[in-house]
Amino acid sequence: MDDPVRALLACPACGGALGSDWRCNRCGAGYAASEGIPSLRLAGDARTEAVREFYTEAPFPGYPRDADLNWLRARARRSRFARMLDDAIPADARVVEIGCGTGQMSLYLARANRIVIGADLTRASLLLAVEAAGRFGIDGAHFIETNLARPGLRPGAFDVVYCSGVLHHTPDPRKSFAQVVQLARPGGMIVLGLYNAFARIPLRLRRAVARLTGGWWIPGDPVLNDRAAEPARRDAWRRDQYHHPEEHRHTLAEVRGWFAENGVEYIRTFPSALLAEEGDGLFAPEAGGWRFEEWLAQIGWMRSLGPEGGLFVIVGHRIGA
Amino acid sequence: MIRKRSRIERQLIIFGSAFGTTAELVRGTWRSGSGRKWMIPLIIFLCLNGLLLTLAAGVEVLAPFVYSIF
Repeated sequence: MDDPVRALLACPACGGALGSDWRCNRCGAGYAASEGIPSLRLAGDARTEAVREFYTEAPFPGYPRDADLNWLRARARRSRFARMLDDAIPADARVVEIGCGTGQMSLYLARANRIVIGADLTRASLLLAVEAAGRFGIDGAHFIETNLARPGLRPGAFDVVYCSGVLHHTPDPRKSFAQVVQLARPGGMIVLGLYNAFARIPLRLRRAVARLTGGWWIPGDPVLNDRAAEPARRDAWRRDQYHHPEEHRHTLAEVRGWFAENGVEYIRTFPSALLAEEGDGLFAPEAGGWRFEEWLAQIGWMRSLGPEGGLFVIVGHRIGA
Repeated sequence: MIRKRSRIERQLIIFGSAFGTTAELVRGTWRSGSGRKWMIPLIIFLCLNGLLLTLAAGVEVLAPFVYSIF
């Protein structure tokens, strides 16, 4: 791992800089780095360990057997959100993806002169990410094993912190968010993906039916249908959505509260929380704040986001620049 | 030539007219003397729900791929 990349990492125990032998220059703690993945993870609480074991059993979201770089780009380009994210991030940005799973978004964003670090709790997922990076010929993405509660990442070091589908699986999402904010430099962008309390309702109804039928029938899940020919990825989605041991859901107003508590200025959501409008850039501030309109938009998300689990994205920037 | 209004304009028109229509319906039921005054809370509830659903339908339906991108 190059020095500019290592400079973005830190000792998870004391926050000190790490030497080339993965030893902390401040407290002297040593860390292992095998198969291209530094292990900067301290043991978590029982609930966090349960989540880690859950993803160790079935890394999420996984790769199709014949995946290549064209597959990755084609999948990303069909998503308006992924295109907007890629367009919004400067070519020389330092990016961290918290909870990168099997690393697809990190690999997709690792182009031009960007330095992208994918951090995850689960080594089994990271091994797939590193293997894919080698196979796709991508050298701008680096992966580390770490726990968000004590991250092995240097505070204030990143221009963009991307954390999607993660905080709602932590024991205390509000506290975890405070940790995420610390990683962004003043003025840095924070892109957060969370289950929305309204948009998640359709999936919860499907889950209730699945439980009543002993898992035999899951009605109308388009992602499961899309993965009918890929049993491993289909099973990973089914487990993640219908059998996860830790799940929370949040409203936009609640997350706006987290932003205010942590010195983060609200930029916008994706999809837009304005009715019948969709802003141009993911980092372009959007007017709004009319509580009633935001509630209506979230009710509408049941229809637009509900089919794929009800995850919405909220963007802000850390005040201070 | 008939000018096509934007979606938000159409919804604002519905929003603006909904309260008047609801009020007329309630007033008519109150004055009819048919003994159906008990239906007034139900009428108000249903009209407000209809309004809510009309506005919520204004949210753009996107292709998903926010979570299941890959």
